[in-house]
Amino acid sequence: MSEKPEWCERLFSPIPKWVNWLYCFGGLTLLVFLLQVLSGIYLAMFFQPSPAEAWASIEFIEKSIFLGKFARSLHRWGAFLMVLFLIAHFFRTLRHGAYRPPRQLNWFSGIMLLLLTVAFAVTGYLLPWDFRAYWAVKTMGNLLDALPVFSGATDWLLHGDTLNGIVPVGRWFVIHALVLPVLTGIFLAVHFFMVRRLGVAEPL
Amino acid sequence: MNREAPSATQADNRSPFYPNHLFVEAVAALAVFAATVLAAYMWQAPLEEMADPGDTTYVPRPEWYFLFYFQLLKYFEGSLVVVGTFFLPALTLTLLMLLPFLDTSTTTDIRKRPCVAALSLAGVVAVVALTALSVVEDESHADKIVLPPITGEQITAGREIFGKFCMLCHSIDGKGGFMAPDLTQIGARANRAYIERVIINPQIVSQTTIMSVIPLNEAERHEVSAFLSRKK
Ligand code: HEC
Repeated sequence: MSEKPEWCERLFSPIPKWVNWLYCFGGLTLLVFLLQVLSGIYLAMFFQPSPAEAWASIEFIEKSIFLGKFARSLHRWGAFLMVLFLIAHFFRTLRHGAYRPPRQLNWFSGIMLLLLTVAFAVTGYLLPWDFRAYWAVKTMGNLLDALPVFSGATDWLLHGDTLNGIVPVGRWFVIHALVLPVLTGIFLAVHFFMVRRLGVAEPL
Repeated sequence: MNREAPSATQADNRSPFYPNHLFVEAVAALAVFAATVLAAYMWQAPLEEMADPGDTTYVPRPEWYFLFYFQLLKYFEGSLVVVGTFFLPALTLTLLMLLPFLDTSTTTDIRKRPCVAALSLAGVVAVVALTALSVVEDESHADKIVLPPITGEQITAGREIFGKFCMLCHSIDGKGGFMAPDLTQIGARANRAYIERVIINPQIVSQTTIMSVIPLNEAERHEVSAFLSRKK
């Protein structure tokens, strides 16, 4: 029997000597993601997810809420950095071939997390419902119309089935602040479980 | 960095996660945390004007990390749009998903995995080149308009300029020419940025318009747009 509890043993188990700073990017992505969760929760407290009020509520957050402008700015910079670190992490993984068996599951969950990050970025971009958001919706709607299979579904997401035909900011908000975080949590759990279980890829 | 590794045995080859690696991670994490907070404090996120479905001239610009994709989409038009919106992304995704099965090499040395190295390099070059192209094309559009707040003097000056340069064709409050639309209520159907864009390039209203580019400087343009945007 070891003296330490198993989780401790596992968390602090020795890692290969050749692990260097290049291996930090995964952890940094997680750190920034946690910052996004915190600043996101704060913003969600004051955000009004409707086309008539979204913009005004963000202006209100910026002007009248304690640290509101800072929180929004942090959320935006977080998104920027998350993409950056993710790219670095991705190429580090490619370079070391860390996607090969037995780490397929790690790789797949990683790709899912990459796609989720893209989805976060897209839906988040729409929420302020400013000029950029409006045109992003128009542009995406046009492009997706041309799709063979999904055109109906994606177009619905952007325009469809709303009271008075008003653009569904609330729908993107639910996706951005509920659906995507839950999915991310699930894939993160898989991702980390596999890293701890298999360790860091070694040069063979 | 991993040169010394292969010959050593498993045990020699390991260092404790704590404190060695945790220290590196912690330093990096702290640095990133501080940098993010500082950046968020110094450079605040932009909030553009409220969405205005009436403005058909706005050039949407995605975040930097999507620029390459939007540039790519420019090359697929008409029935080829699906190639950009569906087939290329699907192909890339499939390739990534299959990577663990396609790459059967047993070394981490990137030089001994030429296929992966070549494909990654091609991907990076393509993304960087497309992003650069997109930035260059955006710059040449040069339609970034910064609007100063409206003052009373601006409106007065704007009214004068309008009388001098524009009323030849346009009418306002029952006076002026009738070769062009009446602008008495222009402020109700268009915002200021739109008015400025029309002055800079009248062809955005219609390709064949008779409205000419009127040689106003930036301050004069702001004055006219201030005047007109208040006509509701
Ligand atoms: C040579 C005649 C002419 C002059 C001078 C002229 N315009 Fe125009 N303008 C037009 C015409 C014609 C149109 C309508 C566009 C079309 O369909 O061709 C127009 C359209 C516009 C519109 C868009 C109206 C809308 O409903 O979308 C604006 C704004 C405008 N002009 C502003 C100005 C301003 C400001 C000036 C002076 C600096 C000016 N114009 C001078 C002929 C003129």
